[in-house]
Amino acid sequence: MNLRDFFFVFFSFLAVFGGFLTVTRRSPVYSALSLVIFFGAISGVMMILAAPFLAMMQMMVYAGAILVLFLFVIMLLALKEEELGGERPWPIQLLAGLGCAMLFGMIAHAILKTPLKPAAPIGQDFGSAEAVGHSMFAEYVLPFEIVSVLILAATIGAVVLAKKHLPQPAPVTEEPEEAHH
Amino acid sequence: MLTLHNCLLLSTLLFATGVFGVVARRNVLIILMSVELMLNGVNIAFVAIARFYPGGSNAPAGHIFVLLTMAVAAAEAAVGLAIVLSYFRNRKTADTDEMRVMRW
Repeated sequence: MNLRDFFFVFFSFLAVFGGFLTVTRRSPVYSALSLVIFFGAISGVMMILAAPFLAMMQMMVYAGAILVLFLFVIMLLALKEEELGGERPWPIQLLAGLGCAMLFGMIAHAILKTPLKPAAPIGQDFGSAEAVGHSMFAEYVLPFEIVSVLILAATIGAVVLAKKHLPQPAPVTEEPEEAHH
Repeated sequence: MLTLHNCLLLSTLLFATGVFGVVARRNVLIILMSVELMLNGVNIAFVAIARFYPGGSNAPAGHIFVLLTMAVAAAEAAVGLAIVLSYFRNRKTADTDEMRVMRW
């Protein structure tokens, strides 16, 4: 087992562990903190899979932006224990767990049954920021532009949705104009 | 071992964990986090397949897909959390079983 395999196994276990903690913690704060472990481990896996630029973006977008957004919302809600909401009864959770295990089992069976061609070699600067940038702004420029529109729409939508409703101005009454003169 | 099979198995396991979170939990924040879990599992599959079958390119389509997925995930988190915030402000609950109306 060389170093690359070791780190792959290590980050995989860390990701599964972080994901498991995220879905099982009672309080959203602990879930969000477990999500840090998860995102960091995913970033490590991407680094091992020869995608250094994506690993960096993973840290910046997920751990840097989305997670902070989650923590901000948790802070703004300031859920008390009784506001956390109930949990489903354990038979339903067990059933959900079994269902997800079955989902995993079926997809894993399909994956393991699929014969794979040997991997192709990769270039020297595979997955670097330069290579991804060239590809994104030459070949895939249209999806990129569409995503920018999507993000603009999401930003405006989030602002409109989350804004506190200001007190409505008093309805305009039909005052006779002459009274002011 | 770093093989495509193992990468895809990891991806599937993370996706199944996310599905469990969505199905078995009732707190809406944790459900949104589980959705992020699923999206990340899918990203791993994209990156793994791009790594093992690059098709002669230094930045195969899988890498671009992952970037677009990240953008969509960010947009989804922003809008989803805005809805949660707005709902909590009006109804004082973060429990999906108590969320029955989307108007006020």
